[in-house]
Amino acid sequence: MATQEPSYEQLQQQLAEAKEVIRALRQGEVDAIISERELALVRLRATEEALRKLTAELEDRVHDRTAQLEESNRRLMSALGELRAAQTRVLEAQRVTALATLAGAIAHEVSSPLMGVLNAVAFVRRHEQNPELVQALQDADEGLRSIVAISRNLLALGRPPERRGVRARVAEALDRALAMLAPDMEARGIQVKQDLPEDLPSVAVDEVRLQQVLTNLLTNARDAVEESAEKIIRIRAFREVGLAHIDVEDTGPGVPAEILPRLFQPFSTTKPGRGMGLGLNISRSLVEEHGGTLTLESPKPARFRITLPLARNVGSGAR
Amino acid sequence: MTEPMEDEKTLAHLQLFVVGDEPHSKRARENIVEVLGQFEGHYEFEVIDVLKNYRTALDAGILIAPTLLITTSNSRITIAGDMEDRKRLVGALKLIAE
Repeated sequence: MATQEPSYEQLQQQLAEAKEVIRALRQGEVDAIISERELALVRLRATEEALRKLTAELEDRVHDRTAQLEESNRRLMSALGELRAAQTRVLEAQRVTALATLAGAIAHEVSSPLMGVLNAVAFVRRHEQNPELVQALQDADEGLRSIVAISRNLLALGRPPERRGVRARVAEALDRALAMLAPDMEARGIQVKQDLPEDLPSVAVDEVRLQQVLTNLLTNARDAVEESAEKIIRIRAFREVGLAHIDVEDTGPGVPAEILPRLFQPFSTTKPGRGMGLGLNISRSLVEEHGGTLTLESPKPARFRITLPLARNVGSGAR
Repeated sequence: MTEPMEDEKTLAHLQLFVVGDEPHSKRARENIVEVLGQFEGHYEFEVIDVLKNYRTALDAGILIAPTLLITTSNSRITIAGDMEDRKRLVGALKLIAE
């Protein structure tokens, strides 16, 4: 501010400028009023704005970093989980392989003397007249045959898988499995109901193995319905894209809940004194060797499901 | 500062005081830039953002923004607002150019 008195021209100038300011204010064409007080406010606002930006930036960075940490933590945990699962699988596989090798070796060693005893029993049966002895020999014969069956299963366990180009017709494997069990089932009053589509394609599995798995499941079902009023075993097959499912269901009491966690583990049995508890374990290994699965679809009624890939169509022979 | 008789044409100093990109400031700037095309060589033009350079506006005795301050060696004219009235703007600039 000038300390001198303003001149007339200066006063005129100031008046003109004041008029211009008033005009602009009246027309509302103003963004800001310039004053010492406003200056302080502008500075304050600028500082506030800068602070707000800085805070937001810091929050963003903290947020990002936290998210990164959470993500890497999640990945770590999942990797750890996978590692543990893999370790468990490896241990389980090693255990099963060792068992299979041992079982196969024993079965192999046992088979020759077993055949000898079987032949001897057959020979004596043919020549014996005493009906009581004949009955005893027949019992012995049945017992031996069941030992032969167990032994075959164990041998199969020790054998390396055959995979390439194998194919099986479900109906035939089932017929063969049933042929062995049917007389026994009939005698026990067990009904077997089949629901197999006629156009079910062949599955990619060795037919003897499939027969073996079916025999195992049917034997289990047979034992399960033993004490039931209604003794029915249902076998149903159906296809899905690239896969075939075979369900074996029975009217027995179902699988007890406490068995479920170790149902497919070796030496797990509900039939003490009647089996080694290897059936489901062996069956699962056999199915898995062929890229399939064996699962318990329902514990009550007990329904097991074999799922196998369909065989690739080679020529026109496959059906 | 520029001496009065240095050049035949008087050189005018144009300072537009604005508030960032606020609507009136923006419009004022656009209007001036368009009009100034006709007066090339007669002026120096600068835009002063009061948000960054408040003190200059205070020292120049500017009361509101946007305001265009036209100064020569012997005169001072201020035009405030949007400068939507191009004729006034042109008139002021002609006055300076003469």
